[in-house]
Amino acid sequence: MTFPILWPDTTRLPAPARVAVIFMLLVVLVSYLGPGIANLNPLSISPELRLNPPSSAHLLGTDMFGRDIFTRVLYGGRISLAIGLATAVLTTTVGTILGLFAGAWQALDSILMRVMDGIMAIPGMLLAIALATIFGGGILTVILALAIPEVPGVARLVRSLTLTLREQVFIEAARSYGASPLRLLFRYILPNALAPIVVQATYICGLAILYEAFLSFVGVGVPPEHPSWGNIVAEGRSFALIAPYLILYPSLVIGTVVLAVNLIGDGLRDMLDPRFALPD
Amino acid sequence: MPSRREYPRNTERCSFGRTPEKFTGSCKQPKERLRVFSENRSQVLGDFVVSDVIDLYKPEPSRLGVRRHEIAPPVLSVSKLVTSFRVAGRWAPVVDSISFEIGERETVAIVGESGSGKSVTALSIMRLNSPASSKVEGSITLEGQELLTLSQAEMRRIRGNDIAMIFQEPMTSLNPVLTIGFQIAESLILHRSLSRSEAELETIRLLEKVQIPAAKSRFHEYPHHFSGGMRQRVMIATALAGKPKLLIADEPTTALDVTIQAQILELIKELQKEEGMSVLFITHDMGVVAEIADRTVVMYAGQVVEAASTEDIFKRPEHPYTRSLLSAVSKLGSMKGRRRPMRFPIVDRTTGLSDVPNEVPDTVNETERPVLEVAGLTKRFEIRSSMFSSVKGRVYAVENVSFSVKSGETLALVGESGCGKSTTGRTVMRLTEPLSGSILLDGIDLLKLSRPELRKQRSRMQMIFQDPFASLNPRMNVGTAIIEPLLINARASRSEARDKVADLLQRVGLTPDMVNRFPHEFSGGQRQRICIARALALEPRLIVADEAVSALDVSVKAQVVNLMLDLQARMGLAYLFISHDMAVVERVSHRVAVMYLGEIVEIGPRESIFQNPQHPYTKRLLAAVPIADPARRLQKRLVSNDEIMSPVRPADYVPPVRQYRDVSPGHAVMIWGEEWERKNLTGSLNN
Repeated sequence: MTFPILWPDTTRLPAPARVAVIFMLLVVLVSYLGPGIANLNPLSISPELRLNPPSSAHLLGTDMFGRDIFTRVLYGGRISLAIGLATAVLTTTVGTILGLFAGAWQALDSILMRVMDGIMAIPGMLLAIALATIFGGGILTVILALAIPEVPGVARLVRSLTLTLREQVFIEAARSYGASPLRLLFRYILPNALAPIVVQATYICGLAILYEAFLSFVGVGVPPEHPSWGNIVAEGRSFALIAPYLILYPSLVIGTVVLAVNLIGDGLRDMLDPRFALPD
Repeated sequence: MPSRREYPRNTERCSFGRTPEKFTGSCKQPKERLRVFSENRSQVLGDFVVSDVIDLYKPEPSRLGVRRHEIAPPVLSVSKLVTSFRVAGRWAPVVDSISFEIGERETVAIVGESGSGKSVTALSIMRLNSPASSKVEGSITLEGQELLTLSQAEMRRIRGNDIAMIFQEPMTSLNPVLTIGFQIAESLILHRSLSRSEAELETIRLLEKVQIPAAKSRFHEYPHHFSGGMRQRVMIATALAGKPKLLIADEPTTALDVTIQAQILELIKELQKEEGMSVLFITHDMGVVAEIADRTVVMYAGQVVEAASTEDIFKRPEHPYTRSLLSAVSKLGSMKGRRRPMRFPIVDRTTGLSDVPNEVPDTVNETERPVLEVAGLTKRFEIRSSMFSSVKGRVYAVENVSFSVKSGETLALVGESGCGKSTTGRTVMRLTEPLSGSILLDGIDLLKLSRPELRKQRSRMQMIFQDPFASLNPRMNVGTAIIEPLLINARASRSEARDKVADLLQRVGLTPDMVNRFPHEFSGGQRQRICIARALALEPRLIVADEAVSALDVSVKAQVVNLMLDLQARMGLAYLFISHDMAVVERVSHRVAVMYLGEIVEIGPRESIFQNPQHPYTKRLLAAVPIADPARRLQKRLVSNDEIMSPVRPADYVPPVRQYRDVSPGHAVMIWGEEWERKNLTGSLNN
């Protein structure tokens, strides 16, 4: 009752999104619990097993150091998913707050939005590479490098939502019984803007997983001691001609996961759209 | 041509279909028995069976045979029309087996509340419902030709040629990027295969016919150059282009101001006479029905509950629903000789019996200092073409307005759109900052307060808005919505507040178990009750009600007005009741202030204003209100064709100094200049 979000009717979630949700739960479960249960080590090197094709012992084969690729993909999932989620949360939080304030105060608006325009003028990937290079390697750096180029998009979305919502009669009603500006922003405007923000966040999550792979692939991403989906593919690249499974399977995983996250985003949009949410 | 036996069974007082559960009155009888009997009856009676079913139970021989002579075939005949929409994969009937017909040169009104299926009926006749999601069954014949079996191409020829339609919102029905002359000429070329030059001449003739001044010079203007009333005239001209046999008018005057509404109604009546059209008039307003219709079909929940001549509907309503509908209609002039406001009578929808409302007790505290004293209030909006350019003009929204409201008193601010009544209300709440003036709430000048001080004072006055759904946060449940003002103003702890919510909900006629529901789960009337409960939470002294009942259906409107009167009696509330609805204003207010172009032109006790209006504008406003009495229909009203003036003035405009004179104690009227005399606007009912 304190922070009421209209809990959505989950039965409205379309079928593809449901499948995607189940798939993602499975991926998360397997990558976080699987290696521990099976007592696997993604870093154990066994030169005698170099570049073995997929077999019953090594489901996805082994790489040039004899490391089991299946284990590495599972571990990589931990890092890649965490980066995706963290980027999404960071981006939406910062973007939402900036957008709310920009929408509420004219003076702030012109300054904030010009800065956002400036960031948006630089291609996102380029900016991410530049940032990652400046800050040096590391998981936190990657998250930051991925988040900054995405913030303006969220801020613009939230700003436009705020501008529309603040003209609503219920805001005027709240002003007439004495609600303060901050209360209006966080209790009246934010809950009504939440649905599109959540949808945007899922898209950013999918994008971040993809971009992390890209950053690691070009060598400015997650350092090699942490296997991530990106650097598994990056390391396998030089042997791709003799052992295509080195990059084939990890790439497939990246593709499927990003697809699943986007399907969830699409499903959420359909489910949360107020035109469907308020049966009258 | 249908034989005499075939068509006349449609005008029964009861629908043949399922009667809604709510009406357990005399109409709820086995379906088959009714039909057999009425069919027999109609053979005997011929065309128009004024009364049949209910006559079974209440014989009234004098009424049989009314209109028996009118045996000409109907222009439009609708029988057992069922329109269903696909909802979640299932077909749900929205219009459920309705039958009626429209004779030559006849005006039939379909009246009902929102959701009763009246617009869907019109769309079904035009076959404009989307074929994918809707299904129309039954029979609709236009001069004997069945419309439902026509192909889309054949139907297109009917539309615009034989049946034309006008809609509620004339702006959205006109193409904004084409001149109106072009649009009308286009339809003439299409429907009557005229050449371009012939079509242009005909267009000008049509524009003159709908009384658009200087029609020739307005030919090349775009829709946004026209006011709402003028746009509706253009729409009517377009409808007339194909010389239709039937004109369907779907709430054509609902979005218009009263004076403009009166003009359009006059116009439709006149054109009907000249062109010999039949008219199907859809409305929710009983006043309009009385004004225009020969016969009336009352719809409820997709069914026809009663159909009879308009006179019979008003004088001898038989179905309980019709009675409840009529009792909720406020008739202008019905308050003659009463000093205090009066509740609306409540009609039991099952029995049709009504209570006799009493005048409310005397609530006005005459001795105390007024709760609200407004003096010299002025608000202007500057118009600039860009942010840095100089002022191009100003909207004189509120100009030197002064009034006061005592505790327990209702002051009504009336006027037409753009007269500044809402701006006055918002300025009193200090939701917009006025240019000058003073607003004293219990003697404290609100305009001199700082923001935090204002927030504290503002809790003593609250506002109710026109659209209750828009004024509730959709993501906040009702309990939280009502608690909010208490928590914000630190009036109660969370647990105390919860008890208070239950009390408030009961006070406005809702139940405490509704606290966890969200606004979209309530009906319009319930939502307005919630808004009232929220406004009451802070125990205000003054409530600014900005068109608070205008968007509600008639019967719901009556209930909410009754609630407001009860609360006034119990809590000594002062109301600033902003409304354009003169009939409701007459019912609820103690005093009335008439606003015109941002100024109060007349202010005084309600009875004095309504019975002895002085200012020409007040007279014009009162004359334009539709009277819910069909007997007064034939009196031709003198309605001026003036448009509503705009309060936009050039930058160098200096507002004139106004003087008022007293008519009687408390009744003051602005001394008007000769511009009012020249126009000779004193349209009255007796001329």
